[in-house]
Amino acid sequence: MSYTDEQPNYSSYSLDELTDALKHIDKESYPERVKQIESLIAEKGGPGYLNQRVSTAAPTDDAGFVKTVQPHFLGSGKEYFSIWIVNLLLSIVTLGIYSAWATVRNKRYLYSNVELDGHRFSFLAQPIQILIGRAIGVGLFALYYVLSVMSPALSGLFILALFVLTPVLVCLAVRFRMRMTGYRNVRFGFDGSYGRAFVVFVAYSLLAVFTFGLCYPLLFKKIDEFLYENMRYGNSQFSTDLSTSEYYVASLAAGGIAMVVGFIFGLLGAGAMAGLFAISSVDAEQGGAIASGMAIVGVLIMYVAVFAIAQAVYQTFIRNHVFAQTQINQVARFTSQVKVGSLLWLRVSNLLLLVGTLGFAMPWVKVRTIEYFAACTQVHLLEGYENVLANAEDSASAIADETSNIFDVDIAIG
Amino acid sequence: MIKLDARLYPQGTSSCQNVSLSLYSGGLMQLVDESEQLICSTQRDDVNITPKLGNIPREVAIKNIGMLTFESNSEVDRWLAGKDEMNPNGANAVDIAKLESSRTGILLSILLVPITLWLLFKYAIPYAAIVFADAVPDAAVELASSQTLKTLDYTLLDPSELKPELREDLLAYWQTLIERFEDVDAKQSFNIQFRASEKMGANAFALPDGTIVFTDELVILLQGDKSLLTSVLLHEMGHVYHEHSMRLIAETLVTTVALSYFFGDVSGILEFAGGVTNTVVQNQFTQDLEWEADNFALAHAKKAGISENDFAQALSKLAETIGQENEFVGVLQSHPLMQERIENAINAGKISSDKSAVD
Repeated sequence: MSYTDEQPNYSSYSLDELTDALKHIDKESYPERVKQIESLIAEKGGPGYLNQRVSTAAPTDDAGFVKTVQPHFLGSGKEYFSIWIVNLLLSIVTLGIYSAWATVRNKRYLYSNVELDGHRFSFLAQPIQILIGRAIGVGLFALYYVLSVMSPALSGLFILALFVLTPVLVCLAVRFRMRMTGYRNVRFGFDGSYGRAFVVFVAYSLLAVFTFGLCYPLLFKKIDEFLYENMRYGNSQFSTDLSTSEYYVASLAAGGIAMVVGFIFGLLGAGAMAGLFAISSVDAEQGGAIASGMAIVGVLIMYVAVFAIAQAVYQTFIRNHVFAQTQINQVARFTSQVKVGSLLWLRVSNLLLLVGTLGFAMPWVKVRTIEYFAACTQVHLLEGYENVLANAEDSASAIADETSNIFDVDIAIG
Repeated sequence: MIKLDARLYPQGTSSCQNVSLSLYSGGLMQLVDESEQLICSTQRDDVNITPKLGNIPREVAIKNIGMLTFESNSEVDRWLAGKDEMNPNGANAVDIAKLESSRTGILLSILLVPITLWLLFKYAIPYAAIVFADAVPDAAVELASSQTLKTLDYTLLDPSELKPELREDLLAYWQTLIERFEDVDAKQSFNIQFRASEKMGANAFALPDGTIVFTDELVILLQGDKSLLTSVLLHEMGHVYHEHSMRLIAETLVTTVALSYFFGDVSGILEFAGGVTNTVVQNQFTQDLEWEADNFALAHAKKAGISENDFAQALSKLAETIGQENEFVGVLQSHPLMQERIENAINAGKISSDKSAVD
């Protein structure tokens, strides 16, 4: 047997054979061979062949991936807790002023501990940007609140104005979130136009309302489409191909399951109440009091359960779909394998942790959530991921010379 | 001199290269690539050093060169903080990272966070609300009150269907009482109104400018009994006297903002926990305000020519209309438990009758 480690003569391969070889080669052990095959494919198929092939390939087809990597969270709940609690105390004793600095430290810790392909993400916002945004947010909220007291008619106008302004605020918020995320010294970005945002958020919202909710899944799809299509990593645009029917299936599944669970809870509750009244007929007054207390607890639990289940179902469907259908051109494709059961368990256990510790478990809750989603995510890097260009302001390290852009504030509205 | 391996992400692309970094005392830093070629030589003061945080790699942005990241140790951290033989104290006065990693800092925080939060919500915010309520100009208070009444008239309230004689009788009866209170605080005026409201049922409410509204349903429930109605009037005057409307506005505003900024950026189901906390905190405020109004009514009962028991009776009649309640409900609702309020009124009656017995 001649299992030699000699390099095969790829230059004699046909295009199909090369593609096949690329598909099956052990990419970890033979990175040079991968490179050679790719350059040969590029030669035979002409320039851009790989990228064309990738963008038309079905998501399950892994041809053309340089490698598949998984994000990991490298931090620890314990370390994050100490950062979180100290910053929380400082925020409280400074009556909230320091909270902008606290937010930056918290987010930096979480972002910088997410590692992908040996490189970490970074959170790039300056506290002052967050502070200004919060000041604007508080100002708007206070204005609304005072107006609602002084003159309900004016506050109605204010709500209307806010509804019309929502597209602008959403664009600013998403833009901020993307621009403040860096990976390999290149910022993400968002170029959604206000006009298009207006169509999506105002026109489709109204459509959904006037069709008695029938168009809500369509609205959700349009929103996601608008958000993902306008994102970019450096100068590499995201592209996405979402299907309306997936959104209807997800919404119907979530709504249907919520209704079934709600119905079962209702039956159980009615049964329990009847039983309680039967037992306590001796002391009707006390029985009534206990029953009304239990009814309230029961309704609360039901509300949480129904909400949690519906959300887990919807999010599972939609995240998996969006990840499968979205790519960063010439940089990466994605796979998401969230499961309803495990996501539901994550949400419920997180809530129990928080309630049981009176909120002290918040850092672990965040770490668990990040770890869960990291484990469900795979990133397929495409040829060219190392050569993403960033124009001057998209270099994360360029922060020093960047005069703070007036639009780069995190306007904090619910 | 400290020498360490680092990663350089050159400006303008997503590429990355391994470099060697040399840090000299005095602040000079030099960067060479793998073939020992000098990439740049610069001063600590000319680069942007991201503050230390936990164990994440340090980041240094060098103008026009790119982003440098490297694992650090205490020696490297000291150099980055500007501490070396020539400058042992460094430039940074406050070292948050040190606080975040010190056992004392963490334990102290665990202890102080609940205490300071409690102090904040129990004392600081209510106190600030009082200051705010005092500062609101009268014109704004009047505008707010008239607008609120207009809106309520439009939505929940209908013109009173009580017999005009009954209304006039009550108003005449209360005239002297009101004058006496207006004497105490010359600035304050009261204006009593009657409205029918099926939706509100038996109820009375006060607007911040001193307008007090009784529903027909309340007058009927208390069978037009002047003493009982007066006790309710006193409770509402307590709300006005203590400027509760404006205080509640300030408290709600500040609590909502504070909770979202301290525990902000939670999503999904966690918001539910946050929402419950907000409701509980705010209900605590309104409950406190109700107690204050109750105690105002009880303290001024004698002066108004009624007894504390009249208030207890009025509350008992109202309690019959709202049915059973228990302590769990108490946390989630804005008014204190009726049973406790009735007991409070009866106790106040006992104390004052004991006093008059001694006198």
